[in-house]
Amino acid sequence: MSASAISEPGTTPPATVGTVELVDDQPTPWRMLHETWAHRGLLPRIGTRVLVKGTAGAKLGRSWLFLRPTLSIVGLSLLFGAVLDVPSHGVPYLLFLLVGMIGWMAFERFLWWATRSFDSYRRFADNFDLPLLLIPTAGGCVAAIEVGIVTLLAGLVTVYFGVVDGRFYLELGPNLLLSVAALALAVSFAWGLGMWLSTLNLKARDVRIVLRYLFTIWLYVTPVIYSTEALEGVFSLLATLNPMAAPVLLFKQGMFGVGSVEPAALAISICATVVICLSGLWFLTRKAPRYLREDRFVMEDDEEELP
Amino acid sequence: MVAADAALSGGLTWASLADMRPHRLKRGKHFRAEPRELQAVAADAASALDLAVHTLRDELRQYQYVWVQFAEFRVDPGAPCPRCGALRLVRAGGDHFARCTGCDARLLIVAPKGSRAASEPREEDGRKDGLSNDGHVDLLKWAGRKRITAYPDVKLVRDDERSDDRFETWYGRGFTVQGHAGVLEVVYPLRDGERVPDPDVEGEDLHRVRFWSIAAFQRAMELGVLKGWEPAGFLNPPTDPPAG
Repeated sequence: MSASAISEPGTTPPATVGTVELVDDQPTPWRMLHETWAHRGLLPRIGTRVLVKGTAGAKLGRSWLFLRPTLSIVGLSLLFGAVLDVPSHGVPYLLFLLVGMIGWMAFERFLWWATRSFDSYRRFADNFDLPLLLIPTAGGCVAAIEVGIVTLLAGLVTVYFGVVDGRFYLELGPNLLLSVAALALAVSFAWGLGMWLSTLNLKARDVRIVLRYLFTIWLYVTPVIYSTEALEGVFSLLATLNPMAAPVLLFKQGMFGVGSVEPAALAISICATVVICLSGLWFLTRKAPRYLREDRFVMEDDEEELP
Repeated sequence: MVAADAALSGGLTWASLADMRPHRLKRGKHFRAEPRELQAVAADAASALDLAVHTLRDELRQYQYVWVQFAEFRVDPGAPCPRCGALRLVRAGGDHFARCTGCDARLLIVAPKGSRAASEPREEDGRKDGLSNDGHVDLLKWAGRKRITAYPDVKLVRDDERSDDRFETWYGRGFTVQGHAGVLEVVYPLRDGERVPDPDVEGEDLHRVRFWSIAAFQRAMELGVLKGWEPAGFLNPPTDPPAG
């Protein structure tokens, strides 16, 4: 073989016997987690992309990030606080609702963006060698910003009531750790469910359509806009079985120092989270590469609408 | 350090981006040129580093980004691993990236635009020796953008038999930035017996570098397929050096 016939690196060897087989990568769940952690620096770079696209073309631009949750919460507060006079453990209803919404939105917003993640960030999954778990996880970055905005609103409302009522309703102390644990539980549940739904959404976009309506029902069966004092019979049982009830109640308990969480509800929530996360990780690693390759008709969203 | 590093800002170098992971470069922060220009510079940098690169423009209103990810080798679709010749590759990142199951090489799968290697002088570009009539533009094309400085820990020996008043040839060994060992050939074209200054890199002389990973040779030796193998011309290969 002459020197000039030897292929350079980056080109194909001149002669090979056999057929090249290109197979899907099916990493173990542990390797997927490890690689996702190694690429964690990309999460905000990928995740916040939809925020830029979502506000593109809007006259009010990024102000919508504040306006959307504010208008939504003011509407709910007027309906359930002023009109229906829902009990709220002696806390002003607006503040009670805002704190409950922080716990709920940590779940709902994460799950929403995670489910849509392969639509929003598909070009990165198609173009680059990165762990696929990074894609639904990146949805958490947008959720974190949205929850941060509601938290800021809650802070402002707390100060307002502190001045008006002369009373600081939040219990700042070690009990705040309960709120942190509740947020971690809500986010983990959303992450695990997001692995399932983002993969299924690759196969059928109906998933995200159904999810939009499911969230409305789920919000009403979770004690976000009311306290568990108001529940009786079958509704009380539903609050125990609902895996999101315990994190929301625990978050409120940590913030206000009132109310309590049934141990059975907490156990159900933790068990559901563990099972969903493990099975979701397995499902995503096994199915997402194939669905991505097969379902090429699912194109990346051209413009993200503000949900 | 490669010449293309000048296109980056904020202390970034292409070698630091060549960790085989995706990177997002933001215009104004990491580079100043047009995104399309940076994509071309990235390709040059990959060539200089003896790697392959995939780039993607991402333009969102006033924000302009270029995503880059390097790979160790570029392969044609359906081609085996260039390092170890393995036939089983694992798809990673859509249809663009793959990993070799034999040696874990990171591969960029790209359909070739032309059938001939860029480093081979083309007759239609000018004279067959790689020089056009003015002798300069095609010499740059012949030399390519790889530089010997891109290979750490290089040891070269001048080959007097293949050197004359038109060129000087060196052979040696070295490593890629990823640490893969290989054999190097460096050819300096001469004008009036002197090396030609490199117009792109101050203080360096124009030269052509070729690198062959020894992994496949080593594996072939281990498997015994080279034992007693002396094909015609193996010990005295033809060469096609440029005229200076």
